[in-house]
Amino acid sequence: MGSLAVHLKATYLQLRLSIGIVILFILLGRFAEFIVGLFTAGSDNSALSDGNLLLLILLLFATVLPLGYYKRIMHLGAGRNQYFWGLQLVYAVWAMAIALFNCLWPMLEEKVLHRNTVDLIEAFHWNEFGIAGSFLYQTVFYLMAMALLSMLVSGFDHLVGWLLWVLFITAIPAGTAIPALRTHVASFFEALLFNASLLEGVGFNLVLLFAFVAGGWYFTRRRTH
Amino acid sequence: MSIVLSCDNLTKRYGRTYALRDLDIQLEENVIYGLLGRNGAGKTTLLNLIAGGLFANDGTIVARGKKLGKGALPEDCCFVRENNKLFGGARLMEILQFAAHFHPHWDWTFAHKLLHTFRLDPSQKIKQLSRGTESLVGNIIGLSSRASLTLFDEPVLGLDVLMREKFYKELLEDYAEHPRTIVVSTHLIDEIAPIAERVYILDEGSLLLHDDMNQIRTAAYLIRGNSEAMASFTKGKRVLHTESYGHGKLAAIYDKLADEDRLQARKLDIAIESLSLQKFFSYLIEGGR
Repeated sequence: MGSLAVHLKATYLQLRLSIGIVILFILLGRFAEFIVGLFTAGSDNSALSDGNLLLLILLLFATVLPLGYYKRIMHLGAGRNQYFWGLQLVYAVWAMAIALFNCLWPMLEEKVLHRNTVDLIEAFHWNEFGIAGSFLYQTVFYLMAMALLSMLVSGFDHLVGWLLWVLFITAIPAGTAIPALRTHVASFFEALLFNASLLEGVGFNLVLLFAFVAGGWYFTRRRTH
Repeated sequence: MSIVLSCDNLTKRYGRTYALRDLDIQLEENVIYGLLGRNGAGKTTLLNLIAGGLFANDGTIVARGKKLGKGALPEDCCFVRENNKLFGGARLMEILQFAAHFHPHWDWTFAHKLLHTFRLDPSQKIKQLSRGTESLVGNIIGLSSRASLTLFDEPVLGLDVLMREKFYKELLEDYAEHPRTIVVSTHLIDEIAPIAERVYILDEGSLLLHDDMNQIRTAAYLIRGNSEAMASFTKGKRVLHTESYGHGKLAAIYDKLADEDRLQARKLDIAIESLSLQKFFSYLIEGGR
């Protein structure tokens, strides 16, 4: 079994139940929507796209795996670098899979299922870069967000980790509350999420991704097991 | 013989409590070591430090001439923990497949043989296994890994006597065909006696004794006789423990007995018995305080 296959299978085994719960939650939502639709004719309420809801899986991966996967795979003989880079590969595979799904599913929802949904990809204008561009922007953004969460979770037993938690928790409220900082916070998120240039948007996300991956590795090297 | 791993001045503290204090050990190539000590003696801490699971406060670990960085795993090392955290939803075979990936000398033929010997169903889910069977899974990983440095921490915990014997037999047979350095930490001291070639005995984080098993076998004795004769006989010998009963005295000694010693004992009407490793360990630990 290759390295990627081992990490993909092992992480899937660890999160199988949680992934199932997310999918069941989406299906139940659709079922409830169908039942309500039977009694409210002509309702044009729009819900969040199913593909967007699948992003919950990525959040689960980035939070649960650094906590629960670490010891399990280390106890089977993995080294810290094998665990860490294996985990990054798993994140990349799932981020790409969900990004691809989010490129294709809205088209199916619109053209085949004729559903009126709110789609984050449209909201961030990533669809304007075409399927390949949208896929790339999404993948890099998802990876960056996963790396950030993974880094914060990995640092749970480290003082610097707690300081980072405090920094991230206070940065946004403080940034939006102070008028002088508000424009900087807005332009930061604009550059990150609403960038009109694919290259700039992807590049900015990549820079943050590398920084968070480096932070994650810093904490992983200091974790016991 | 070449040194596989050496620890120099290894110290590990938890707050103000020392788990290990200035410990020096050397593990030679192709030797089975017994790591003995009471609860809290520092056995698991030592193994965890060697396997990179914990970080030492002081001291160095050198594996095959290369100083290990903080938390680094020695090359080709397999550590079977007392409480291995496994994937509960996985099947036994999947766990072995994962473990095989991280051990370059993994032997699948041997792994299958061990599954058969220990009567384990490879399709059984880990969460359905008893404590003893979980130990067996760890032991199969440890043995099949054929790692040049294999560390077992309490490998027979939860196993019945039959399974314990089977494990020791498999370990010895495989070691004979594929010699490597094996460290077995255990509480069942008499069971390790026929297996281990050398022992390290730890107490309160420090090394109490390091010796060849043969040396212990040929130098650890329980002697009994009247008090005066015993005082004369034990003079200049390493006495681990003494006990009085009526006019007699009983002593545990740790010294090689030459022919003249045995002759003297016969003259003084002193009985000499071999000391089991368990008793030797108890007397050594108690005598050490």
